[in-house]
Amino acid sequence: MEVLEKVVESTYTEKQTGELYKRAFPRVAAFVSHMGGSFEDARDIYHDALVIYFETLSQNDVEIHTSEEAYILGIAKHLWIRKNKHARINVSLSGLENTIYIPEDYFPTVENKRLLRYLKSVGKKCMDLLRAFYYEQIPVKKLAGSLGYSNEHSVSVQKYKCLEKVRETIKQKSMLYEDFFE
Amino acid sequence: MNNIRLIEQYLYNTLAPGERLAFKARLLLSPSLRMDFYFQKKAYYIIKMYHREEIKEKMESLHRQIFSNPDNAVFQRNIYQLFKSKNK
Repeated sequence: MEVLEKVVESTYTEKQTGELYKRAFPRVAAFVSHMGGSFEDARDIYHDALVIYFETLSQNDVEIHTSEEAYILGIAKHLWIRKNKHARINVSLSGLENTIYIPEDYFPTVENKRLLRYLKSVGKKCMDLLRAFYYEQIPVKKLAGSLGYSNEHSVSVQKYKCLEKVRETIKQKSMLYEDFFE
Repeated sequence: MNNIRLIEQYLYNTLAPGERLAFKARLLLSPSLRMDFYFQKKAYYIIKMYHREEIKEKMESLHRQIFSNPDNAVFQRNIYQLFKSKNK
């Protein structure tokens, strides 16, 4: 199920992430500059490209046959094309870059953005717990400790409670502004 | 805990074959279960969005750090250079 794909930040240490950041940015910046974009455009596209890159790494079925920098540049090119609809003809993609794709659900709808904003304002604790549970590869035992729960079982119970709360909130909110019923 | 755990197990493919079949049958028969199913999938998606947002925020703070650290003066200059020549 696509919604349940693991999206972990992989196993990069903070130092490695910093090094990667500095290593891959110049090529993305050069590309965006070449296309007539600003420094801010380059920065924004680069950050999205990194998020997508980390996500790709965490999916076991994807193999990356090139350098990290080249792969991230490839993602950035796709992002640029998406943002600038007319750019398709001006951006040349290598064979490898053609195989890169951006997750279809990467750009959320206004409605989903609104939902997330609301959930963060009323239930940040639950959102943090769920994010940690599904996306950070922290063993449940450690999670229990850092979140102040007495044992693994209570984390699991709490996780389901939170998930239910999130689900019910989304249900309520969606009923308000969406004709959901077919 | 009603059906929340069951739906998760179904989505994660951790139900035994018999249970899985039974769940599918219930899904067909029960509109309210279908609705919970739909919204639970949406909940996972919203959590995914949240995760992506947090990673992006991390990248933004890393950016600020790198671009304000004088140790990276050369790096900063090289990047800024790319955009300076463009504005002619």
